Amino acid sequence: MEENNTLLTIALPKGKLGKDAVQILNAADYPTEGLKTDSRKLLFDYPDSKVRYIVCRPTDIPIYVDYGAADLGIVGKDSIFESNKDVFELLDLKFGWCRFVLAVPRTTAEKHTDPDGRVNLNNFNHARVATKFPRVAEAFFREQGIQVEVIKLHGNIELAPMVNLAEMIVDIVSTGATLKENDLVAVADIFPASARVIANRVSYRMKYQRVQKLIEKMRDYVDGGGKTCD
Amino acid sequence: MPQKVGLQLPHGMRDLLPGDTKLIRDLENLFVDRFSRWGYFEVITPVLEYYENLLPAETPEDQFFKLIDREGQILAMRTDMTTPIARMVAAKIGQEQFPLRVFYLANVFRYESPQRGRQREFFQAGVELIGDPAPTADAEVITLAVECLKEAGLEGFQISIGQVNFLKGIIDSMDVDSPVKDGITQAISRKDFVELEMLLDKQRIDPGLKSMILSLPALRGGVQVIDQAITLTENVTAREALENLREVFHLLDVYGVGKEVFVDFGIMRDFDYYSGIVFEGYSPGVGAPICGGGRYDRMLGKYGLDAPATGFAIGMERLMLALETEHQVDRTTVDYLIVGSDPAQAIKKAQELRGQGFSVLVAGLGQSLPVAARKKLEL
Repeated sequence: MEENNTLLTIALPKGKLGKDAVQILNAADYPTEGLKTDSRKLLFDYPDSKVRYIVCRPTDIPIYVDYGAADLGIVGKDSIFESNKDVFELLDLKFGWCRFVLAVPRTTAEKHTDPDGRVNLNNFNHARVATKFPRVAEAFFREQGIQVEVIKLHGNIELAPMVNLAEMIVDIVSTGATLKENDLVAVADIFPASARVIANRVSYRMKYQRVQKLIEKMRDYVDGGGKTCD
Repeated sequence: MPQKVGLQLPHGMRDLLPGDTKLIRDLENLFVDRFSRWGYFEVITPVLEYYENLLPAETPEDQFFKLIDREGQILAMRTDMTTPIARMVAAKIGQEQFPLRVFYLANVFRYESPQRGRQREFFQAGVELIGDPAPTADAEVITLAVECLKEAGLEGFQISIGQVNFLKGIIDSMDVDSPVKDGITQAISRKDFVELEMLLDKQRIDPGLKSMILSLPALRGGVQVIDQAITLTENVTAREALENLREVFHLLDVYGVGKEVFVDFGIMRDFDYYSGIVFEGYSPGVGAPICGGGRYDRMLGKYGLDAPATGFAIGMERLMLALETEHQVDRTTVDYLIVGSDPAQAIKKAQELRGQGFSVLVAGLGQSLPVAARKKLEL
């Protein structure tokens, strides 16, 4: 098989992460002229370079890649973990940093703070936790040996403790501003996440040379300092 | 239309209608013919077995369909065919008949979340070659797998082949605790290179060894890759694995299938289960391997009969998807449709053609049949 004659389809996330993704593709000598991840257009074809980009919601990217609708995807580790899809994780792009935290209202945190200044999570046995990331939350509490009730919401998680829907939240934060505005404090770090390149397990082998070449160029760019994002 | 409410199937179960069934049966017939030519004989094992006898499959516990019989024993449906066949060989056949060559066409069951190419009941065709430790045995089953895919009419496929002891040797020789070794192994088999790099950094692995391990998955291609790999390690286990791979590769060339096969050290499949050569087959358009197999020398020992073994299974649904991606598959077409006003004449002609091996339908004048025919005869 002449693999260089085959089309490579790359899934890109909408929004801010998408802009950084376009930049790194450009740095890796991939066509990006007219490529926008925040327009209404969802498909961008570059037949001369045998590349097609599809733009979709970050949480959907592991699904496109798992099914092989896209060969590669650029997406945050948060979406990869939550999707639990069988994809290969090839490279840490080291932008789009954020971290998963467990947060509770400030008053609750103060009440349960130990003399050494730490909040003991055992106080939250059988509590309710609101989150957009039930898998992350379940995995974290299982590891801690704490039973909780996970309530899946689709946005504005910080509202849940205010209206007594949940005692705590698991969410991703980058600066922590949202937590602060809502009088919430992070009591445990779960794990940090950044943007990754993922690959379909068959595409990774059938289109190996093209994939590997692109990954190496991206790696050089990332290792060379590239652009660091907040 | 019949009433639909109440006639649903359990999640992950499907009916195979005439078109799908014909395709699957035609493929199975091709495979039976191919397996027989290589001297393999068919075996059938029961769908239900004692759960504990299926544990060597190393299927995650929550993927078994289980039930309890009236004596309180836990039964489970088979999740693969290699395990029941190993049990059967240990219990009923024994080593007097080694090397034993058997094949199967069977449905197996796994409680997974269903998606395209992954139902909870699925069909496999495969072979097991038990009692032969030689590279010739590995080359035989890989060649057989390639021949099956070709015979099925699949064009753009490739087989990736690896040797689990290569990485195992390298990882075992590392000066770290065994949970860390497991973590490294898992990261490599999941192809999570980000996690792998983080693990190696955290353990302060010697930079030379680290960059060597990170470069392994990129080592991929023809037989020359084995020469490259051999310069990377002094570890005895790893070097023996490479020599074994080289021998198998040489035999594949002799068989004339070397073109379809690529060395890929990232192929791990299940590390505990497989003990040597491993391989997987891929086709564009199907996001998961269409066939897979390898050497599993430790499995029969779990049933009390130590014996080397190797084999493979083809996922029939995935193969069907791959074939459909490549070309339109002709399903329910008969060879002849005979239309005539005189039934006796039509029947006579139909029987004559059936005798010659054609598929024939007879219709009365003005009667239309919901089946396509390659030729229409009007008498």
